[in-house]
Amino acid sequence: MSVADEQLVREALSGSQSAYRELVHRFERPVFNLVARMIRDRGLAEDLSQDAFVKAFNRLDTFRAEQGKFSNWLFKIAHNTAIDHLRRGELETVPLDRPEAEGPDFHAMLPDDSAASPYEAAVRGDLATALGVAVDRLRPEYREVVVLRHQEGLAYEEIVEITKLPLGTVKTYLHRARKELAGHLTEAGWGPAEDRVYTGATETRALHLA
Amino acid sequence: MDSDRLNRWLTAEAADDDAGAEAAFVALFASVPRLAPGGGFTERVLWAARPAPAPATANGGLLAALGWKAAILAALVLGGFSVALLPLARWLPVEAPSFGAILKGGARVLTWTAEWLDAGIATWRLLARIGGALGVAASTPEIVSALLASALVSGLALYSLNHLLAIERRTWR
Repeated sequence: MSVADEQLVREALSGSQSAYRELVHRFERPVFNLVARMIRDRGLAEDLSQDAFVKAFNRLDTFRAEQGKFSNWLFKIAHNTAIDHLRRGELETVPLDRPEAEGPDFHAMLPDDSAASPYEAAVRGDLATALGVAVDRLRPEYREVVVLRHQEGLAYEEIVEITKLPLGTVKTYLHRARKELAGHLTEAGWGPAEDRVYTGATETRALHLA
Repeated sequence: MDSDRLNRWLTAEAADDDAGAEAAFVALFASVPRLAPGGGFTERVLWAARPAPAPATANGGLLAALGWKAAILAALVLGGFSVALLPLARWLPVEAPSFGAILKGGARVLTWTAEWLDAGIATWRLLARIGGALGVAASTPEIVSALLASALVSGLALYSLNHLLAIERRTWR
Protein backbone atom coordinates (compact mmCIF):
# COMPACT_ATOMS: atom_id res chain seq x y z
CA MET A 1 0.00 0.00 0.00
CA SER A 2 1.41 3.34 -0.99
CA VAL A 3 2.05 6.05 1.58
CA ALA A 4 -0.44 8.93 1.56
CA ASP A 5 0.75 12.23 0.13
CA GLU A 6 0.23 13.98 3.44
CA GLN A 7 2.39 11.40 5.23
CA LEU A 8 5.13 11.98 2.64
CA VAL A 9 4.89 15.72 3.25
CA ARG A 10 5.34 15.17 6.98
CA GLU A 11 8.37 12.95 6.36
CA ALA A 12 9.85 15.48 3.93
CA LEU A 13 9.42 18.25 6.50
CA SER A 14 11.32 16.15 9.01
CA GLY A 15 14.22 15.98 6.55
CA SER A 16 13.63 12.76 4.60
CA GLN A 17 15.25 13.01 1.16
CA SER A 18 13.46 9.87 0.00
CA ALA A 19 10.12 11.50 0.81
CA TYR A 20 11.01 14.49 -1.38
CA ARG A 21 12.08 12.10 -4.13
CA GLU A 22 8.82 10.16 -3.90
CA LEU A 23 6.76 13.36 -4.04
CA VAL A 24 8.55 14.47 -7.23
CA HIS A 25 8.28 10.99 -8.72
CA ARG A 26 4.56 10.87 -7.92
CA PHE A 27 3.66 14.28 -9.32
CA GLU A 28 6.24 15.07 -12.00
CA ARG A 29 4.04 13.81 -14.81
CA PRO A 30 0.75 15.51 -13.82
CA VAL A 31 2.52 18.80 -13.08
CA PHE A 32 4.59 18.71 -16.26
CA ASN A 33 1.55 17.72 -18.33
CA LEU A 34 -0.44 20.68 -17.00
CA VAL A 35 2.36 23.20 -17.51
CA ALA A 36 3.34 21.81 -20.93
CA ARG A 37 -0.26 21.99 -22.13
CA MET A 38 -0.48 25.59 -20.92
CA ILE A 39 2.91 26.73 -22.27
CA ARG A 40 3.33 24.43 -25.30
CA ASP A 41 7.11 24.41 -25.11
CA ARG A 42 8.70 21.26 -23.74
CA GLY A 43 11.99 22.80 -22.55
CA LEU A 44 10.30 25.77 -20.95
CA ALA A 45 7.67 23.54 -19.39
CA GLU A 46 10.42 21.48 -17.74
CA ASP A 47 11.99 24.64 -16.31
CA LEU A 48 8.65 25.96 -15.05
CA SER A 49 7.65 22.59 -13.59
CA GLN A 50 10.99 22.48 -11.79
CA ASP A 51 10.34 26.01 -10.48
CA ALA A 52 6.92 24.90 -9.27
CA PHE A 53 8.39 21.97 -7.33
CA VAL A 54 11.13 24.13 -5.82
CA LYS A 55 8.57 26.75 -4.74
CA ALA A 56 6.38 24.03 -3.27
CA PHE A 57 9.26 22.46 -1.34
CA ASN A 58 10.47 25.83 -0.07
CA ARG A 59 7.08 26.51 1.49
CA LEU A 60 6.07 22.95 2.27
CA ASP A 61 5.46 23.96 5.88
CA THR A 62 2.57 26.17 4.75
CA PHE A 63 0.65 23.21 3.31
CA ARG A 64 -2.38 22.37 5.43
CA ALA A 65 -3.86 18.94 4.80
CA GLU A 66 -7.20 19.98 6.30
CA GLN A 67 -7.58 22.64 3.60
CA GLY A 68 -7.31 20.25 0.67
CA LYS A 69 -5.32 17.61 -1.14
CA PHE A 70 -1.57 17.98 -1.65
CA SER A 71 -1.99 17.43 -5.40
CA ASN A 72 -4.37 20.40 -5.65
CA TRP A 73 -1.99 22.58 -3.62
CA LEU A 74 0.82 21.60 -6.01
CA PHE A 75 -1.37 22.17 -9.10
CA LYS A 76 -2.18 25.65 -7.78
CA ILE A 77 1.53 26.47 -7.53
CA ALA A 78 2.16 25.06 -11.02
CA HIS A 79 -0.80 27.04 -12.38
CA ASN A 80 0.49 30.27 -10.81
CA THR A 81 4.01 29.62 -12.13
CA ALA A 82 2.74 29.09 -15.68
CA ILE A 83 0.35 32.06 -15.50
CA ASP A 84 3.13 34.34 -14.20
CA HIS A 85 5.24 33.28 -17.15
CA LEU A 86 2.44 33.94 -19.64
CA ARG A 87 1.70 37.31 -18.05
CA ARG A 88 5.33 38.37 -18.32
CA GLY A 89 4.64 38.45 -22.03
CA GLU A 90 6.78 35.49 -22.90
CA LEU A 91 3.93 34.09 -24.91
CA GLU A 92 3.86 30.95 -26.94
CA THR A 93 5.36 31.16 -30.40
CA VAL A 94 3.98 28.01 -32.02
CA PRO A 95 1.57 29.01 -34.80
CA LEU A 96 -1.95 27.90 -33.96
CA ASP A 97 -2.80 27.06 -37.56
CA ARG A 98 0.07 24.55 -37.89
CA PRO A 99 -0.13 22.24 -34.88
CA GLU A 100 1.47 19.34 -36.75
CA ALA A 101 4.69 21.35 -36.93
CA GLU A 102 5.38 20.41 -33.32
CA GLY A 103 6.20 16.89 -34.42
CA PRO A 104 5.60 13.56 -32.82
CA ASP A 105 8.00 14.18 -29.91
CA PHE A 106 5.59 16.50 -28.13
CA HIS A 107 2.81 13.97 -28.39
CA ALA A 108 4.85 10.98 -27.32
CA MET A 109 2.58 8.00 -27.07
CA LEU A 110 2.25 5.62 -24.20
CA PRO A 111 2.35 1.93 -24.98
CA ASP A 112 -1.21 0.80 -25.50
CA ASP A 113 -1.72 -2.60 -23.92
CA SER A 114 -5.50 -2.50 -24.00
CA ALA A 115 -5.88 -2.55 -27.78
CA ALA A 116 -7.30 -5.76 -29.16
CA SER A 117 -5.30 -5.76 -32.41
CA PRO A 118 -2.45 -3.87 -34.08
CA TYR A 119 -5.07 -2.17 -36.27
CA GLU A 120 -7.03 -1.02 -33.25
CA ALA A 121 -3.84 0.07 -31.48
CA ALA A 122 -2.86 2.14 -34.53
CA VAL A 123 -6.28 3.80 -34.72
CA ARG A 124 -6.29 4.46 -31.00
CA GLY A 125 -2.76 5.90 -31.03
CA ASP A 126 -3.53 8.08 -34.02
CA LEU A 127 -6.76 9.33 -32.49
CA ALA A 128 -5.02 10.08 -29.18
CA THR A 129 -2.39 12.07 -31.08
CA ALA A 130 -5.09 13.93 -33.01
CA LEU A 131 -6.87 14.74 -29.74
CA GLY A 132 -3.60 15.95 -28.19
CA VAL A 133 -2.96 18.20 -31.19
CA ALA A 134 -6.54 19.48 -31.05
CA VAL A 135 -6.12 20.27 -27.32
CA ASP A 136 -3.02 22.32 -28.15
CA ARG A 137 -5.07 24.40 -30.58
CA LEU A 138 -7.39 25.50 -27.78
CA ARG A 139 -6.96 28.75 -25.85
CA PRO A 140 -4.59 28.33 -22.85
CA GLU A 141 -7.41 28.73 -20.31
CA TYR A 142 -9.46 26.05 -22.09
CA ARG A 143 -6.47 23.72 -22.27
CA GLU A 144 -5.88 24.02 -18.55
CA VAL A 145 -9.42 23.23 -17.47
CA VAL A 146 -9.64 20.32 -19.93
CA VAL A 147 -6.44 18.80 -18.52
CA LEU A 148 -7.51 19.31 -14.91
CA ARG A 149 -10.98 17.94 -15.51
CA HIS A 150 -10.44 15.14 -17.99
CA GLN A 151 -6.86 14.01 -17.35
CA GLU A 152 -6.52 14.66 -13.63
CA GLY A 153 -10.17 13.89 -12.93
CA LEU A 154 -10.71 16.91 -10.67
CA ALA A 155 -14.13 18.11 -9.57
CA TYR A 156 -15.39 21.51 -10.74
CA GLU A 157 -14.85 22.92 -7.24
CA GLU A 158 -11.23 21.77 -7.21
CA ILE A 159 -10.62 23.43 -10.58
CA VAL A 160 -12.18 26.61 -9.17
CA GLU A 161 -9.79 26.43 -6.21
CA ILE A 162 -6.74 26.00 -8.45
CA THR A 163 -7.57 28.50 -11.19
CA LYS A 164 -9.53 31.00 -9.06
CA LEU A 165 -12.10 31.15 -11.84
CA PRO A 166 -15.84 31.32 -11.04
CA LEU A 167 -17.64 27.97 -11.20
CA GLY A 168 -19.81 29.11 -14.11
CA THR A 169 -16.73 30.14 -16.09
CA VAL A 170 -15.08 26.77 -15.52
CA LYS A 171 -18.19 24.97 -16.79
CA THR A 172 -18.45 27.32 -19.78
CA TYR A 173 -14.78 26.83 -20.65
CA LEU A 174 -15.16 23.05 -20.51
CA HIS A 175 -18.27 23.13 -22.66
CA ARG A 176 -16.71 25.45 -25.25
CA ALA A 177 -13.46 23.47 -25.22
CA ARG A 178 -15.35 20.27 -25.99
CA LYS A 179 -17.22 21.95 -28.85
CA GLU A 180 -13.99 23.37 -30.26
CA LEU A 181 -12.24 20.01 -29.97
CA ALA A 182 -15.08 18.39 -31.92
CA GLY A 183 -14.68 21.07 -34.60
CA HIS A 184 -10.90 20.59 -34.80
CA LEU A 185 -11.20 16.82 -35.07
CA THR A 186 -13.87 17.10 -37.76
CA GLU A 187 -11.62 19.51 -39.68
CA ALA A 188 -8.76 17.03 -39.37
CA GLY A 189 -10.83 14.30 -41.02
CA TRP A 190 -12.11 12.55 -37.91
CA GLY A 191 -15.72 13.58 -38.50
CA PRO A 192 -18.66 11.29 -37.72
CA ALA A 193 -18.76 8.49 -40.21
CA GLU A 194 -21.13 5.59 -40.68
CA ASP A 195 -18.19 3.48 -41.71
CA ARG A 196 -14.62 4.48 -40.96
CA VAL A 197 -11.69 3.09 -42.89
CA TYR A 198 -8.32 3.70 -41.32
CA THR A 199 -5.71 4.55 -43.92
CA GLY A 200 -2.88 5.94 -41.80
CA ALA A 201 -1.99 9.04 -39.90
CA THR A 202 -1.21 11.26 -42.87
CA GLU A 203 -4.11 10.31 -45.08
CA THR A 204 -7.84 10.93 -44.97
CA ARG A 205 -9.23 9.00 -42.06
CA ALA A 206 -12.93 8.88 -42.77
CA LEU A 207 -14.64 7.57 -45.84
CA HIS A 208 -18.32 8.29 -46.07
CA LEU A 209 -19.77 5.33 -47.87
CA ALA A 210 -23.00 5.90 -49.67
CA MET B 1 -13.57 0.84 -29.22
CA ASP B 2 -12.33 4.42 -29.49
CA SER B 3 -13.67 5.04 -32.98
CA ASP B 4 -17.17 4.14 -31.69
CA ARG B 5 -16.77 6.60 -28.81
CA LEU B 6 -15.54 9.23 -31.24
CA ASN B 7 -18.55 8.64 -33.46
CA ARG B 8 -20.92 8.82 -30.50
CA TRP B 9 -19.29 12.02 -29.24
CA LEU B 10 -19.23 13.83 -32.57
CA THR B 11 -22.75 12.68 -33.45
CA ALA B 12 -24.01 13.87 -30.04
CA GLU B 13 -22.26 17.22 -30.51
CA ALA B 14 -23.85 17.61 -33.94
CA ALA B 15 -27.27 16.77 -32.43
CA ASP B 16 -26.73 19.17 -29.48
CA ASP B 17 -27.04 16.24 -27.06
CA ASP B 18 -24.92 17.73 -24.29
CA ALA B 19 -25.13 14.87 -21.80
CA GLY B 20 -24.37 12.22 -24.43
CA ALA B 21 -21.49 14.26 -25.83
CA GLU B 22 -19.98 14.77 -22.36
CA ALA B 23 -20.15 11.07 -21.51
CA ALA B 24 -18.60 9.94 -24.80
CA PHE B 25 -15.94 12.65 -24.65
CA VAL B 26 -14.85 11.74 -21.10
CA ALA B 27 -14.42 8.09 -22.11
CA LEU B 28 -12.54 9.07 -25.26
CA PHE B 29 -10.25 11.61 -23.62
CA ALA B 30 -8.95 8.96 -21.24
CA SER B 31 -6.86 7.67 -24.17
CA VAL B 32 -4.89 10.93 -24.46
CA PRO B 33 -1.60 10.30 -22.67
CA ARG B 34 -0.08 12.73 -20.21
CA LEU B 35 3.03 14.47 -21.50
CA ALA B 36 6.11 13.37 -19.59
CA PRO B 37 9.25 15.35 -18.70
CA GLY B 38 12.66 14.23 -19.95
CA GLY B 39 14.87 11.79 -18.08
CA GLY B 40 16.58 12.96 -14.92
CA PHE B 41 13.82 15.45 -14.09
CA THR B 42 13.52 14.19 -10.50
CA GLU B 43 17.27 14.58 -9.92
CA ARG B 44 17.22 18.10 -11.35
CA VAL B 45 14.33 19.09 -9.09
CA LEU B 46 16.00 17.64 -6.00
CA TRP B 47 19.27 19.37 -6.90
CA ALA B 48 17.51 22.71 -7.45
CA ALA B 49 15.56 22.36 -4.21
CA ARG B 50 18.55 21.45 -2.04
CA PRO B 51 18.91 23.77 0.96
CA ALA B 52 21.43 26.59 0.44
CA PRO B 53 24.42 26.62 2.81
CA ALA B 54 23.79 28.96 5.73
CA PRO B 55 25.71 32.22 5.31
CA ALA B 56 28.17 33.25 8.04
CA THR B 57 26.21 35.67 10.16
CA ALA B 58 27.48 38.50 12.35
CA ASN B 59 26.34 36.48 15.33
CA GLY B 60 28.45 33.52 14.17
CA GLY B 61 31.49 35.77 13.77
CA LEU B 62 31.01 37.14 17.29
CA LEU B 63 30.79 33.62 18.67
CA ALA B 64 33.99 32.68 16.84
CA ALA B 65 35.79 35.75 18.24
CA LEU B 66 34.53 34.93 21.73
CA GLY B 67 35.76 31.35 21.26
CA TRP B 68 39.28 32.54 20.50
CA LYS B 69 39.29 34.88 23.47
CA ALA B 70 38.06 32.08 25.72
CA ALA B 71 40.80 29.74 24.44
CA ILE B 72 43.56 32.32 25.10
CA LEU B 73 42.17 33.03 28.56
CA ALA B 74 42.00 29.32 29.37
CA ALA B 75 45.63 28.84 28.19
CA LEU B 76 46.82 31.72 30.42
CA VAL B 77 44.94 30.37 33.43
CA LEU B 78 46.30 26.85 32.90
CA GLY B 79 49.84 28.21 32.41
CA GLY B 80 49.66 30.20 35.64
CA PHE B 81 48.24 27.21 37.49
CA SER B 82 51.05 24.96 36.19
CA VAL B 83 53.76 27.46 37.25
CA ALA B 84 52.18 27.63 40.71
CA LEU B 85 52.32 23.83 40.94
CA LEU B 86 55.96 23.58 39.73
CA PRO B 87 57.52 23.38 43.26
CA LEU B 88 55.52 20.22 43.85
CA ALA B 89 57.44 18.52 41.01
CA ARG B 90 60.30 17.47 43.31
CA TRP B 91 57.99 14.92 44.95
CA LEU B 92 57.27 13.32 41.59
CA PRO B 93 58.63 9.75 41.17
CA VAL B 94 60.34 10.69 37.86
CA GLU B 95 64.03 11.52 38.21
CA ALA B 96 65.04 14.90 36.74
CA PRO B 97 68.13 14.88 34.45
CA SER B 98 71.35 16.02 36.11
CA PHE B 99 73.26 19.15 35.02
CA GLY B 100 76.07 17.00 33.62
CA ALA B 101 73.68 15.03 31.44
CA ILE B 102 72.18 18.25 30.06
CA LEU B 103 75.69 19.59 29.31
CA LYS B 104 76.67 16.34 27.59
CA GLY B 105 73.52 16.42 25.45
CA GLY B 106 74.16 20.07 24.49
CA ALA B 107 77.73 19.26 23.43
CA ARG B 108 76.48 16.38 21.32
CA VAL B 109 73.97 18.66 19.55
CA LEU B 110 76.73 21.23 18.90
CA THR B 111 79.02 18.58 17.38
CA TRP B 112 76.25 17.30 15.13
CA THR B 113 75.43 20.85 13.94
CA ALA B 114 79.10 21.55 13.15
CA GLU B 115 79.37 18.33 11.12
CA TRP B 116 76.23 19.23 9.22
CA LEU B 117 77.53 22.72 8.46
CA ASP B 118 80.86 21.31 7.30
CA ALA B 119 79.10 18.95 4.86
CA GLY B 120 77.08 21.90 3.53
CA ILE B 121 80.20 24.02 3.07
CA ALA B 122 81.90 21.19 1.15
CA THR B 123 78.94 21.06 -1.23
CA TRP B 124 79.09 24.80 -1.81
CA ARG B 125 82.81 24.52 -2.42
CA LEU B 126 82.22 21.89 -5.12
CA LEU B 127 79.57 24.04 -6.80
CA ALA B 128 81.91 27.04 -6.74
CA ARG B 129 84.62 24.95 -8.38
CA ILE B 130 82.25 23.86 -11.20
CA GLY B 131 81.08 27.47 -11.66
CA GLY B 132 84.68 28.67 -11.88
CA ALA B 133 85.55 26.07 -14.53
CA LEU B 134 82.51 27.07 -16.58
CA GLY B 135 83.45 30.74 -16.25
CA VAL B 136 86.94 30.07 -17.54
CA ALA B 137 85.53 28.09 -20.46
CA ALA B 138 82.97 30.78 -21.28
CA SER B 139 85.61 33.47 -21.34
CA THR B 140 87.29 31.92 -24.43
CA PRO B 141 86.26 33.65 -27.72
CA GLU B 142 85.06 30.41 -29.38
CA ILE B 143 82.61 29.55 -26.61
CA VAL B 144 81.37 33.14 -26.30
CA SER B 145 80.72 33.16 -30.09
CA ALA B 146 78.88 29.85 -29.88
CA LEU B 147 76.72 31.08 -26.98
CA LEU B 148 75.87 34.31 -28.81
CA ALA B 149 75.00 32.39 -31.98
CA SER B 150 72.68 30.00 -30.14
CA ALA B 151 70.99 32.90 -28.32
CA LEU B 152 70.42 34.61 -31.68
CA VAL B 153 68.93 31.43 -33.23
CA SER B 154 66.67 30.95 -30.20
CA GLY B 155 65.46 34.55 -30.39
CA LEU B 156 64.68 34.25 -34.09
CA ALA B 157 62.82 30.96 -33.54
CA LEU B 158 60.72 32.51 -30.76
CA TYR B 159 59.86 35.50 -32.94
CA SER B 160 58.82 33.24 -35.88
CA LEU B 161 56.65 31.05 -33.67
CA ASN B 162 54.92 34.06 -32.15
CA HIS B 163 54.25 35.44 -35.65
CA LEU B 164 52.80 32.09 -36.80
CA LEU B 165 50.56 31.90 -33.73
CA ALA B 166 49.19 35.40 -34.42
CA ILE B 167 48.31 34.34 -38.00
CA GLU B 168 46.59 31.20 -36.68
CA ARG B 169 44.53 33.21 -34.20
CA ARG B 170 43.37 35.62 -36.91
CA THR B 171 42.41 32.68 -39.18
CA TRP B 172 40.17 31.05 -36.53
CA ARG B 173 38.49 34.22 -35.33
